[in-house]
Amino acid sequence: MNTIKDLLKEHSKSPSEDVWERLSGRLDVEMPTGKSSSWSNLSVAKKTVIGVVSGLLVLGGVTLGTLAYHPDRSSKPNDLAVLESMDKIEEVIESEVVEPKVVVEEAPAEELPVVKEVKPVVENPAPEEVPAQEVSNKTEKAPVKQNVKQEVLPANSTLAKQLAEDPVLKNLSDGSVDWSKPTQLRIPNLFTPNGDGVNDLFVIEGLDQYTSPKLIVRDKNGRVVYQSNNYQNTWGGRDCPEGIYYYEFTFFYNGIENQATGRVRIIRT
Amino acid sequence: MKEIDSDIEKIIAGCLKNDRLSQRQLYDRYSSELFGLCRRYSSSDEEAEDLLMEGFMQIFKNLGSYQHKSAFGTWVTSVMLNFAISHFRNSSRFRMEILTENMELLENVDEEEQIRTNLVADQLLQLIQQMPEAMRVVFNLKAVDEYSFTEIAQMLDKKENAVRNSYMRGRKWLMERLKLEKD
Repeated sequence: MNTIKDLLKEHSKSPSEDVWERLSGRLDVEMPTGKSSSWSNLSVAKKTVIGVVSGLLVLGGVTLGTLAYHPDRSSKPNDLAVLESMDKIEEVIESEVVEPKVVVEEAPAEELPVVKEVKPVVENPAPEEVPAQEVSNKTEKAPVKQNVKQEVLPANSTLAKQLAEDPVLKNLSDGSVDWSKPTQLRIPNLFTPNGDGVNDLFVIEGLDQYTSPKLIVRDKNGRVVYQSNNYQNTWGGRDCPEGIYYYEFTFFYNGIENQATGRVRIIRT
Repeated sequence: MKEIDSDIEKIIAGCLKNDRLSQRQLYDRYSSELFGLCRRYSSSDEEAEDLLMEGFMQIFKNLGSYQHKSAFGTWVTSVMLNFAISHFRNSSRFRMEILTENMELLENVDEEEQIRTNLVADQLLQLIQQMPEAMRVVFNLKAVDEYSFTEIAQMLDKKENAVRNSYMRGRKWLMERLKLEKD
């Protein structure tokens, strides 16, 4: 009789050679040989939340400066206008006591909203797209203890009421708004272009909420297999063999550019 | 021991220069062990391979932050584990349900007591991979990687009670199935 701890901890197994092939394909794209600081030329995919949040704030004419906090916030030209107007509004709002609260720890676990079956689009920014320095800081500080805090607006604030029906942000069951989860955009993680009329196309739900949807799809070697500057859910994976592909989906909400990246699998049976 | 150390240092230096051969050497050295880790946290070997690949990307990208304070193997494992945890924590299948029924029964179980089995690792893994996602992650963290409930609660951003509850139910889940296997 063995303890299950030992059995599980000590077992090891060689992964299939396919894993290295995919890995080296990714390395070729993201860390090309001969450049030791390849991360500097990585496309820094911005997490969409900050964009969406600032967009809404400007729209509503109110702001919660601290709520819009995002660690990756950079001064892209796109963001500048927003940040400026936010600064102005912040002065006005200082008298209103609207303290952002981190409610997550208080919320019973079973109430955490879950998107059924469909992969939520905007997950935390894919770690590989965070600039290297930030990643290393994080890893250094507390390797196993990175908490993802969700910032939630108090349910009784005016802004929360205005936003309660918002199509983009997640509304929690207690009436407050979860800023970290835009919901209406859902990108599938697989589709089956076999001509049976079911799930034949790469359909991004909620596409119509956004303007200038731009899609780039690459294979595991980094070759662009599909590109559209005005994507209308029409990609059917033509000439693409089965396997994993990587998409980069750029879209605008209230004039703010956002990007979602991820993987999609093509299955042809 | 010294020799092995200088060997791995060479490989690390090569990886930092983005030398593909060194990256392959590093991969060969740790992939089996880390694949083992990924397999017990995943719901299928296919998912484990995806996790392994993405985790290795993290290892290569963050290699510059390795401070030589811990053994390199420990560092590599912790990067992979962190990556796995963040992957599952963000997954839509990750739900920690709180059931109050039968809690008294569960409370009487000695949580530190080792579970034993005649199964071989692969059979056991097949069971583990069928566990509900949150239960499986919590069970691994507690029973195999030996973190405390407090630590796990912090890692997963959940309440300690929920974590404890999830672990107890995972234990019960597993023991029931191990019993079935025996009969």
